[in-house]
Amino acid sequence: MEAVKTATRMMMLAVLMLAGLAAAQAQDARLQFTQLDKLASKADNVVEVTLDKNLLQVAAKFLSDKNPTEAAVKDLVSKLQGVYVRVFEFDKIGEYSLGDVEPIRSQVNAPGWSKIVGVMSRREGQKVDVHLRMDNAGMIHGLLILATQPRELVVVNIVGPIDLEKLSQLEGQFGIPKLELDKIKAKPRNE
Amino acid sequence: MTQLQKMFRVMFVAAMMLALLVPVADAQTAFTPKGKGFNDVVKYIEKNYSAKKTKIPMLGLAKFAIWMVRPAGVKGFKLAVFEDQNFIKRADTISFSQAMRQSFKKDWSPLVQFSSKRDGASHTFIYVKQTKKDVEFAVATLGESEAVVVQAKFNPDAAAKFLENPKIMGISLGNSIRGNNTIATNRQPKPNAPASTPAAASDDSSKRVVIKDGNSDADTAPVQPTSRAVLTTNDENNPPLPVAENASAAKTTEASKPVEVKTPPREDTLRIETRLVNLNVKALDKSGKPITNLKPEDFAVFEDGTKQEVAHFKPVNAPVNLILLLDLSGSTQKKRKGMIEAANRFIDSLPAGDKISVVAFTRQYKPLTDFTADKIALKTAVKKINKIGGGTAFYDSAWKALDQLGQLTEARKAIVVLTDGEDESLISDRESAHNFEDLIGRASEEDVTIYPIYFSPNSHLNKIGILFGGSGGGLLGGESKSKTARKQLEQLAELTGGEIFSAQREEELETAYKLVANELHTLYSLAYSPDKLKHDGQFRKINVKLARDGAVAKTRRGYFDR
Repeated sequence: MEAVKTATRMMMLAVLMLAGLAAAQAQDARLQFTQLDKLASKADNVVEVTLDKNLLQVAAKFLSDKNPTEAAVKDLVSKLQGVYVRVFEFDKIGEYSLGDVEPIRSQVNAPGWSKIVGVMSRREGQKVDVHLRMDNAGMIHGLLILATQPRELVVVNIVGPIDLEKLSQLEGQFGIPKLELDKIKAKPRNE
Repeated sequence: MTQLQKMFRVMFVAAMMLALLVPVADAQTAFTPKGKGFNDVVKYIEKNYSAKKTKIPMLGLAKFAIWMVRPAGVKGFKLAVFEDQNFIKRADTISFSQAMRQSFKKDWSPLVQFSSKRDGASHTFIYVKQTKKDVEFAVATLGESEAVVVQAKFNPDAAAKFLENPKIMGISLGNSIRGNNTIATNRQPKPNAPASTPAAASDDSSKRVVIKDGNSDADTAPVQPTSRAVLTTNDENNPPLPVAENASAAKTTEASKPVEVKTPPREDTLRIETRLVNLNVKALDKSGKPITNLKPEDFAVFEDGTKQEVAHFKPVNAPVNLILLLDLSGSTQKKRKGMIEAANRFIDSLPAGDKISVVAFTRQYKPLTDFTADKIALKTAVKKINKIGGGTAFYDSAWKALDQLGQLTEARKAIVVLTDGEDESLISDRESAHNFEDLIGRASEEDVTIYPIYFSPNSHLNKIGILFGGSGGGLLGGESKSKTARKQLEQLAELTGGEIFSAQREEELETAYKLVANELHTLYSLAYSPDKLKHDGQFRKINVKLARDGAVAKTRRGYFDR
């Protein structure tokens, strides 16, 4: 009887530890965007979207299970901890520099983050970098999308377990602009 | 002198008093929010902008009705509208964004913040508060001359249920109002698809040559097209694709005359039928760059897997016939100046031999010029778009553009369409004569390459289209309408061998047009006569291969053999 109690206690402890670890992973995946606030005064258009877990749960309620596209998004969203978006559109080229984005990049240079090979469009001068926060088992717990164009900067931080295959379904939803993520090849490499 | 000194003294004292009084007056009118949400924002707008609320008739009754009935899970709302104000005059004390932060403190979280300096400054803020079962939203938007503040409380479960099964007080409002837009995927066009119009009934690039004997009315017989197409030659720059070799008896004659075929006198009528399939082909190297120096022998054309003989070839620099189709719906009203300038530069940038027809569309299709290479006439026509405005019948207009191009016998046809692609049938109950399925089915079997320029001046609003559906789509509107529209434009480009370009601002239009101009002259034109004609209505799949390592060819997917 005592052994059962001990085993139960151990199991509970393990579950709690795992839950704590998952929460910690999610916390680590949340990036700070405050350094970008100074760009707001220079930009012509500024969009800021903050969706925490509770709001995402509410959001998921409005997505239909019957529509396959919505059902897929719902499945993805219901597992997420947060979606944070910043979009800055500038009138002229050169109103922001890569130095302005450096504080964001430095956060994803930390251990646990990997960079997916991004895409660069010569035509539109757009560069899209995707960074992933992964645990040792290769599970993705967070993501940063950094899309830079000469006159536009898009920063998207998604926190929570993410299926890369389904990621492109979030484009155009929750304030995430269309970044043609489906064209990005998932070739993670450790930095 | 004393009088003058006295006057100066009085003026000085008056100036000092004014200087002292002004800040006092400002301090009296300025209002600092104290975290009371909706009421604070309204008070802030009233005090700091000296604005007056617009009286909304029956608002009290509406509130009562909402409280009683609770439609779609909405338990109550507050609304304040300010119209015809001058919000450009900013308050000195705190900015609107600061006011919003101070008004929605405690349990409220910022959900969306949008600020724009364009088209007159505007701000939109959405704050949200959650209780156990309910969610409360507050939306405040401040534009150049209008402001709206809304706060609503609703039960998300009930709202979701309402979307699934819209009922108010037990009365059904119809089917689910969730966004259930289906998007045509890269489907195979339906076999034996009924031809809904004469234009669709035939493969536009297919011609039948009927050779009659000498007992007919004349010993020369004009070519009979299958439907709308009249096989005529035209100017030297743009000769029609010659009839294929298996109709070797048929020889094109002098320019600008119907093709005539001389036959030896015979008693019976000899009917030789041939079909010419025109293809616009784009060749891309391994890195996706266009290859522009290919020769006919570099192309191999396959129909349903069987290699076909290429009967005609035109290099990338051959003239193009195109329709410049301009969406003049309301959303572009303020952008006309930029649209005209960009269109003019596009016209200037095209080679002299290219023929353009400028067409405007709203709910109507309005050709402003016929196909012409006269750039002055084209630019004069473009100026007319300033006076046109209305809805967006995109599908029907694209259909008519295909009809218009179908009247041409020349190869190398294209549509350059500037639009947000949001056909009215996508965003309202208005029905169109042709739906997207019809359009994509037809476009995929025509020899017209479509280049959409996705011009969405309000795309920044779409980016925050999270909650309220409409063109921004979002949670309550299901899949974003703009996303659907954009996908449809992408499909049109993909299936016709074209490419989509984007412009979110007037200034970006010029670049987009420049890219289209470059693209237009990366197209080769090929034509072949299918080795077997069955007229069984089945879809014939076309595949073009290139004799270059890693190179790929983009062209239309095929045609119906009718």
